[in-house]
Amino acid sequence: MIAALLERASRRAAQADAVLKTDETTSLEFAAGELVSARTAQCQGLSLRVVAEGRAGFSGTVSDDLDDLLERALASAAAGDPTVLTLPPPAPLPAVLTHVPRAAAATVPELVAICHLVRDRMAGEQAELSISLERSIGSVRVANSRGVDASYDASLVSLAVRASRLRTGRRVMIEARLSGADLPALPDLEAVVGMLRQRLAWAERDTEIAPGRQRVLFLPAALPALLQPVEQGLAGKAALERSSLAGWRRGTRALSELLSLTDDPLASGRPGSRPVDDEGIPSRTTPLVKAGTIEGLIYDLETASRVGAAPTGHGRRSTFGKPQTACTNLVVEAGQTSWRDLLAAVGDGLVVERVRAAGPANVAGGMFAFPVTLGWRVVGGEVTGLLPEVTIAGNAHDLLNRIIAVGSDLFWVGSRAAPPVVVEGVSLF
Amino acid sequence: MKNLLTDVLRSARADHTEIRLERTWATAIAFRGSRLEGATTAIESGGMVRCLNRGRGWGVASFTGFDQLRGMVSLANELSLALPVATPIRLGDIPVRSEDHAANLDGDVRGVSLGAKRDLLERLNQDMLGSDRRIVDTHVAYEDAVTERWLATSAGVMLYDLRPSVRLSAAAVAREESFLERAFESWSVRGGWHSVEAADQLFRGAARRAVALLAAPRVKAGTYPVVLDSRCMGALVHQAIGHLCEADTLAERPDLDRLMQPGQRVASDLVTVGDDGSASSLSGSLPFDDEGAPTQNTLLVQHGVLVGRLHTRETAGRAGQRPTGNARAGSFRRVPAARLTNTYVANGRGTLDDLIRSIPLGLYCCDAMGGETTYGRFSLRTGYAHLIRNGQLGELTKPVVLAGDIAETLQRVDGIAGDFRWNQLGSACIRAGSGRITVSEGAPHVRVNGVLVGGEPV
Repeated sequence: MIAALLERASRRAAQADAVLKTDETTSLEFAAGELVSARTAQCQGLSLRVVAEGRAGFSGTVSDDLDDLLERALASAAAGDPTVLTLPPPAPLPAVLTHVPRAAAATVPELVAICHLVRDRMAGEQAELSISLERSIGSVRVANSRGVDASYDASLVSLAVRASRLRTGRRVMIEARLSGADLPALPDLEAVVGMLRQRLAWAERDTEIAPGRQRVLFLPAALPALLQPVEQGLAGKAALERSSLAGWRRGTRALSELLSLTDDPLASGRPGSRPVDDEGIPSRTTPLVKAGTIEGLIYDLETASRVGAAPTGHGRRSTFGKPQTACTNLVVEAGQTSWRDLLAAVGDGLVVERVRAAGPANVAGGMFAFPVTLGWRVVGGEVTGLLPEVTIAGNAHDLLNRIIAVGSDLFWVGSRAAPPVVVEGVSLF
Repeated sequence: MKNLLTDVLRSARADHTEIRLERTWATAIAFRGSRLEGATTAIESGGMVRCLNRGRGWGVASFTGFDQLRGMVSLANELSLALPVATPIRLGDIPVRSEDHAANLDGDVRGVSLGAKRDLLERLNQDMLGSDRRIVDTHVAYEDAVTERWLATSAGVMLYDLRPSVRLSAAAVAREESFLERAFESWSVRGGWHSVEAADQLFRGAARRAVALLAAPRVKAGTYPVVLDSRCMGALVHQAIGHLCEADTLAERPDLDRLMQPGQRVASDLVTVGDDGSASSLSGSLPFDDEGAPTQNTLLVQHGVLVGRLHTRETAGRAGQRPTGNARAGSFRRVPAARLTNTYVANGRGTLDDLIRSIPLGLYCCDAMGGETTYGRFSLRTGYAHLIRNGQLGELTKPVVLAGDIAETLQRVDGIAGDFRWNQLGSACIRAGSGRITVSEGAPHVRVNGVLVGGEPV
């Protein structure tokens, strides 16, 4: 289908590229120990870009009507701005694990067995348990009029386990997640159970805390909320925008020297792993921040051509709309500090495990105010119990310069990997 | 399409089969500064089949295109049969009927060229960019859609709906030295090309405010008497009351369920709150929900006391009540959940001046730029605010963050003006599982005697 589309597009446009993505996702949900919902979702999307008379146009479809797709892309180009875009030539792709046959072939009873294992291991805990498991099997094919024709298969298994318990009228919900191209291994499932049990034990005691500036240990699940404006600043597009205060370029000292960040599409079997981006650029690891100093920015093809930089392989396409710049797997480098010493560095403060950060923060300025949905009080370097409901606020750019310790263990949360990080001067109210 | 649905349902084997199909024509155009980000059209189609059998759970299959419909009905039934459940699922009854709802397309957006739509947006954008040298950036977007939706069940429900929508949004960024301020406006209606002209002032308003905010002072954090405008109160009530009345959320949260029982006081007796999916032409308006239940006006809080909940067929069946028409899904890919439509605070008496007159030092909070609730507490970031001094509106201030305990805050409402309005903002509500839906809110001006104001976090 994609070859026929490009052949037709080449007759009417100087350049064209297309991405065909297919996906079949099976989802299971357990509540109160029993399977309550089973779902399957099948989808296919074909996205086309043409460059005609020096202007780029985009269209997408979920059907097989290639003529309609092409006509709409040409109409989009006619309404578009001039572009200097040059599509890439074919190039060798790196090897990266994105698909594990046994995960792709797992039957529904095999997936159910994983959920049962977690359920049974948690049976002794006085907690309400809900488990959801999703297994996606998909394929990506990207091709262009210069001869690129790359494809890969992908499998992704995502497990979320939530244990909740009522504490003095408040429901405390503890959540653990695993995701990867393979089925979760037994030690990983044991680690999930161990983490849930430890948190349930911590939640046995209520604590209090006074408003004001605090030292905060951000756990990996809470850190992405803080890193959101940094991710935006690292998109090469921000350098083109007069509204970006960050104005980051290579060599800018932007963050604490304890912080190093890498984008790693070649990490084995992670949600953002891929051998090629959605515009045909081979994947490679991109150092972004080294000891607080900007080492590199990420680009999609169009942004790279606008700023005169080499494309970095960070184009991401949905079925509809144009490619956008996006990180693949964002990895915060582990530091030197043990868990015990991280708590000692907090001294008297708090651990933030999860925040509610779905709403639009003022990303450009870095300002945020997040209610803490799960947190722990730390006194004298020890976790003393469950944090009351509080809100943390501050400026992310400012706080990421006030990191005082970085943990030595790295944890993956979806396509983000990070160690626990201690920040001082976080406003609490 | 109806013949296909009738034919497929005739051979469906589950005790209950529900098919929802959608076809959407959509346009999206965006500028960043003076540069066009993209101008695209899309045609998307797909559906979801849900099956339920006695003593079994839900089997669900979603798909793009319509070609695989028959196979998906079988698959959803097989999945349901594989799910024995201890507690039987009972669905609330909905009227069995066959109805067509074709809204006025109000100048069908499908008949307007992409170039004409781009020209409109470019003109409004340039107007904003040229309004002041301190406007350094803009993000503007035009979106339109015409959606066809079919909903059919094995019990004989056969519904069709054709709806247009248009949305404009404008963000202006003003900069002076190292100070950066941003103002945002959006507008959305269930209308077509003819209604777009009404949004002409939207963009200039955003630019003016972004510039004015550059010189505006910060507010010192503390507890103040505040007056909330319609947008701010609408957002607060959506977050703080609306979400706590979603019956499926409460079913998963026994702790909240106990707190949110009918008869429980959650606000001062001045406060009456409802949700009305049947209101005319608002972003959350629909003739029927994504399970086929007719939409309606549901009272949630009357004189400060909880009186109602928003239901899907499943939660209504469990509670022995009627579905309220609130089962909504972001698209055919999503399973419907009990969601908000157009949420409102009922009108009071008097004017904004009446509310302000007795305040020696307070804040007039306007617009909402996003909020969060953890059910016990809320936080809400305003678009801007004005100081109130000695009963008079004072200077513009930087945005503030309001936060606090929901029930405590709403019980301190001590004045509601008689100037109710629906806000035609391009608001969206996002929930894990059922996805992103369009909603709207309406409220008059409301005074709260004491809200924790976080000021601008620094």
